[in-house]
Amino acid sequence: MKKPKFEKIDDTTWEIPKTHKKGMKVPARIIALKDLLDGMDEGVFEQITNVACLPGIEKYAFCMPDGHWGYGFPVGGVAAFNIENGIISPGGIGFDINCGMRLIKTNLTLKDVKPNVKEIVDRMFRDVPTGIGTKGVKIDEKQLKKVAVEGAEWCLKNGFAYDEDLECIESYGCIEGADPSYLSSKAIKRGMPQLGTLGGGNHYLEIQYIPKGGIFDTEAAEVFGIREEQVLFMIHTGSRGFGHQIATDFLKKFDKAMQKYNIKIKDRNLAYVPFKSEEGQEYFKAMNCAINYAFANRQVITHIVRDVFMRVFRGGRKELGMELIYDVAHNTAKVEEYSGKKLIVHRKGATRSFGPGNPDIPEMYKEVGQPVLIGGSMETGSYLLMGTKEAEEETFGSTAHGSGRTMSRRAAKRQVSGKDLQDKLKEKGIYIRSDSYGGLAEEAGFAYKNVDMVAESVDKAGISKRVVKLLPIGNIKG
Amino acid sequence: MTKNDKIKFLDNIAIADTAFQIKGNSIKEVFENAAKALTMSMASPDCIEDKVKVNITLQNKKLDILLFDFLNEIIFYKDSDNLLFGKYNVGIEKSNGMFELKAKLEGEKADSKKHKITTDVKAVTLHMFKLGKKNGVFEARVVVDI
Repeated sequence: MKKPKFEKIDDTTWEIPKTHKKGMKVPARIIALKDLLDGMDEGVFEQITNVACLPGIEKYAFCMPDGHWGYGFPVGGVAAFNIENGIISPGGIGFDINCGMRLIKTNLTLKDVKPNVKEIVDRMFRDVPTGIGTKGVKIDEKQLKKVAVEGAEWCLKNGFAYDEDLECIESYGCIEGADPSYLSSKAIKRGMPQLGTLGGGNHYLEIQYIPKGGIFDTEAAEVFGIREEQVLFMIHTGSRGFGHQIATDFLKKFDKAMQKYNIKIKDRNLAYVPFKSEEGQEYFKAMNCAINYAFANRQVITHIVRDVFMRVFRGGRKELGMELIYDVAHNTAKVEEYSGKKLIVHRKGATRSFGPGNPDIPEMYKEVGQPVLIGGSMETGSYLLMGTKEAEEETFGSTAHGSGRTMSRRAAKRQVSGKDLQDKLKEKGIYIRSDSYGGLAEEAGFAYKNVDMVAESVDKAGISKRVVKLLPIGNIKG
Repeated sequence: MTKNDKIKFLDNIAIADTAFQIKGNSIKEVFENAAKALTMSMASPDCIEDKVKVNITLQNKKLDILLFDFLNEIIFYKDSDNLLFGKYNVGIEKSNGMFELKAKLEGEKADSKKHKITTDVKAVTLHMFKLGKKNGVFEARVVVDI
């Protein structure tokens, strides 16, 4: 693999020119501080320059600072295609459609919660289904199809949400254009038992607080209603087996359909078809079902966790100030308008980052911009940021989503045992429960990039601005 | 071919996920070892009792896609029925240009402690996916998304 020669645009923007690879229609741009760029695996550059070859691509193929290689697109990849002559590619969204995160605040402080962390985490671990072999909310096929169309609105109708929750979800928790008639029976059967479940891998539910000195922007923090020492909880999960099956179904369909459109590609994971083709539209409508399911999934889990806090602190939801700050998706393809053109924006391990005044963000945030979440490891903490006009102008309204892996799962397990890691974190004041010590070891902090550098990269690049840093005190993972 | 040669987990080609290489003296053996490796990615196959039997029938013109479909069936049953399998008996025949797989899988409902579950597999990817024959030995390479 030939390492590209980067052209430095500025301290956080590095361009791979079109001349680097035959077939590139646009340059590729990596958004990252130099240290992160230097540490990126070469698969990222190979994949993002493949993306730059896709028909109908506009401006640049981007990779965010948390980028690492994925399937088709790198994780951290962003690319926008003209809806008229451009394409759609499941590899530009990922298997876990609408994997995303949400942050819910409380009016509790670290002092209130610390003595109760063990009880809260143990109850969450008992009440939120995690890993394999767990069942969520009982729904039949008819209800599943309603979830697929209504998203978080289904949760509102069925007692898992409040009106103000929906206001604070990307796309208001329900994306239009979902059509369950394009779902396979397998997707339906995988989805029915899993609504309201966390899953495994790097999915988690974390109790966090804002440390002293952890506020970067006091004005934005005030708008978001947060202050030092405040306790919040974060949920990271997606569309579960439902979305995974939709992705698998269409990866296979596209593999076949490309023969019809005379499309040849080196990387089968980058399978694509014209966005406006029959197959492209079918995938888009099925993908939207998964986006809605994931919004509903995170909402149901929120409901369960609110209940835990209410029982532990013997107060109501409003009394405990448990309000959703925002829910963001980081694996989607959405139709958005830029410079008067409608584009299908693929974000694969990347977050939407809309700035002040954008009509698609809640009224209460229009002054400062859309909340953005960048999740770190269970040791290092996460960030709440705000979206910017610059992101809309430069990166199709996109920014990073997490800290990205630097070490394989097996290598991480060889370096530390899950039990030792759990004990070490307990000594640091972080109480963790997991179904699997092996799975826990795989998620050790040293296996991930430095989240502070990722957040600093996007802040310096101007595509989202740091508001607060969040540190963990309790965590459950599958 | 030793037992370790037949199923080998590959560290360097799937940083965020799991990859494995399978060898076998026959196609049947490769398919069965691939099913075992997939289960090993999630749990301990030796701890899974054979309380439930599932029959799978699949067809495809391409043998590698047949393997892809077979492994995805195992993932499907994990989520739809909460089943993990510890025994795999696969038969593959070819007729009229089509490969047909008939498999009997035996297992039980997933139990995180009993089966020593480590992680959950989302899907089989096509990344570096291959099935072929080299020096008389059948080989497959599979990367799964965690």
